[in-house]
Amino acid sequence: MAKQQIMSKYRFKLYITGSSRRSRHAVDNVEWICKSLTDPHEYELQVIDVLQDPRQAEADNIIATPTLLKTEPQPAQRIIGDMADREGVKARLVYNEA
Amino acid sequence: MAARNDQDASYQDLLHTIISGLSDGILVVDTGGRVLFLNEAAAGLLGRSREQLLGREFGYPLVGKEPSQISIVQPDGIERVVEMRASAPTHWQDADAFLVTLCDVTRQLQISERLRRIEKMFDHTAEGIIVTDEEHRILEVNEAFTIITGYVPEEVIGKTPSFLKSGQHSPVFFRAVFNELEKTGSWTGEIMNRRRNGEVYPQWSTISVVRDEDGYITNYVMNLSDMTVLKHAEDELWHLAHSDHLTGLPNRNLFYDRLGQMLLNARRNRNKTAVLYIDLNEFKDISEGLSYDIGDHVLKEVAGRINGCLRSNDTLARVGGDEFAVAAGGERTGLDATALAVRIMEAIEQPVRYNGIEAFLKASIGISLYPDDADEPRTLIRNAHLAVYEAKKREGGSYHFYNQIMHVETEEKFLLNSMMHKAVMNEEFEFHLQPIMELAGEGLKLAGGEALIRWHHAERGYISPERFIPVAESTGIIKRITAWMLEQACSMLQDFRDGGRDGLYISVNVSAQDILQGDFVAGVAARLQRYSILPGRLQLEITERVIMEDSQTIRRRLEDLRALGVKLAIDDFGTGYSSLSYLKTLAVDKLKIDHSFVRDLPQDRSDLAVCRAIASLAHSLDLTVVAEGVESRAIEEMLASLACEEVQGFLYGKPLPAAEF
Repeated sequence: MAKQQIMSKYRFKLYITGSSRRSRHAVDNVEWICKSLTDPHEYELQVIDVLQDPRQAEADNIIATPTLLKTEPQPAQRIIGDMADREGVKARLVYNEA
Repeated sequence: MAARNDQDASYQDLLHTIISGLSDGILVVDTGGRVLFLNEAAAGLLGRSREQLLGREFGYPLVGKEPSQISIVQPDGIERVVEMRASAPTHWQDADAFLVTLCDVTRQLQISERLRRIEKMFDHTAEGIIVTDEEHRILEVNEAFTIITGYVPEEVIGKTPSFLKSGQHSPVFFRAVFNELEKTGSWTGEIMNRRRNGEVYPQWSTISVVRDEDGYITNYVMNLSDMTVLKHAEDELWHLAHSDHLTGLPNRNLFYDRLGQMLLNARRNRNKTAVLYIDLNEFKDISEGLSYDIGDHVLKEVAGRINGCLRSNDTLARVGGDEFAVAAGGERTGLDATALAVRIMEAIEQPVRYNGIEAFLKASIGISLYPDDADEPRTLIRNAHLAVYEAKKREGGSYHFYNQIMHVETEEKFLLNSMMHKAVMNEEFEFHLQPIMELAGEGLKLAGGEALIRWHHAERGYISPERFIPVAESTGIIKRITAWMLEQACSMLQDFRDGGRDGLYISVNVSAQDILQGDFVAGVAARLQRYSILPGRLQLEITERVIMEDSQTIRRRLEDLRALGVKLAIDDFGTGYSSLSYLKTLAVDKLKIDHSFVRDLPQDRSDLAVCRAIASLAHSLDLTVVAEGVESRAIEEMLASLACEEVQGFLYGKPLPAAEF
């Protein structure tokens, strides 16, 4: 389909806080979303714990977690929330995509 | 129009006041997630100032039907959990925007997590738990309660726990419980309760009062554990510990009790009581020279014959391998006791026939009298025992009265005491150690040693501790002797450590008098520090007799010693009678089974039963078991099969001078 023709690669950063149940659920949700968006080798997901890596969180202006950043393809996006509304998140990510 | 504008302006002021005063955070973000507006509470929750946040990218607030939990790490490093809700896009100053509300749920989550943990504990602990309201109506019970009592929650909720009553306690008992609860906030003790199936069982309970902030009682919490198993062991041990398996006669322990009772009666009626200590002279030759079988037969026969000489109110007991004791009450004078002793000697001297063998026996009898020689059982028996030694000095069967040696005794005691004073000053005592072995899964391992005192007097030669320690205890010089022993033990432990044998421990015997000294615990602590010794390497042994006195001071001292880290063992266990529920509350680590129960293993079935009962009891109380008097591999194997942890005895070596240990 359109996506495959463009062959653009997704890059995500997911910011979480510690290894709480909340964090684990957010990671599960985002992995599900990524897999349903595209093939496994077509996306890159980096999970960052703000407690482990506060500098990177600061550099990315993270105010609260879970925050999901889409850096590629443009336009960049930032979604905040528990990511439990998987379809909603997915719809938001492809929104604005040409 | 101006008025309308004024009205609008004041209305906006009002809204502003309300919004900035809200405790929940309010944010307005545009469709790109950028912050357009926020109130003070939102800035506080996000850990930054409003100025820092305005215009910054918060993120597209993707929230479904349920609010979304988000985490914020505040500048002080503390994580707060916030519940985020977002409205569908609305208008904000002519653009699409979301209204986001933030509510701090950190504390709420902490409480519910704690409740979940408590609930788990409540459901899974092995102790039964009952929670009632202030009027004792049951609010909750746990699974263990159902397992112990047989009642399911639906049957008991809303009722008071009185359906558990066995009827074995008086109203006075329960009043005392409630008085204690009122006064101290908790009560601990044993209650007999009734299960759903009607069975009455002993229960170890702790009841605690829960009060609200104003001090009013809101709940009672009762923890209960079933002591049935422990009680069975206790009853069995009582029986084993009080009767002699072979002859069916009372043993030494029960003899003490019975004699105590007889003395009470004698005191009331102003009567005399005689104690006869009977020793069979040639018994060892018979049982070891011929066979154990005939030995057993002889003992049963002799028991019957002595019994035939007694009146119904007299008590006969087997107090040792070939030793019997008689307590004869009534109006007997010294002369009557003589007649009884002669009758018993004659009865015993008749040959015993067994499988075609004839055994000839003679008896030596020591006699002590109440109230002439002593007024309490222990001393009376000890005196009769001492008199036996005198009787034995003569050929053949003979009897001897204690009062004939009493005079000599007192003089002897006086002399011994002054000799001991000199011995302490001149360091005549020697410090010996008897090895204590660990019965580990794979063979034996040296675990430590029991400190024993030896005394070679320049003129009188070797003097046995059994001879001088009782005198030292009665004159108080024991305190100086114990202090010396402790000093030696600590110095030895230091040598062990320096010599790379720092796993070994030393056990030192202490008397009630030692423990009762006000500075005893401080003295032990000071020595441990001076020699830099791990407290766990020092063990103190107190006899069961001292424990049985149930002195509050001794109990406290034991707790203090344990708090230091020093190990505590009960010595001569089995010879007295310690209540289990009492033992359970004492700060001790080990039970040492008295050698009298060990040396005749594995043949003596009653001793075996006692050892087995003590071992299972000790293990159920998490205590380690040490057996004394191990003289053969057969005994050792038997003890290993009882999961006895440590052993000591001649099999592993006689006590050695410290330097050779």
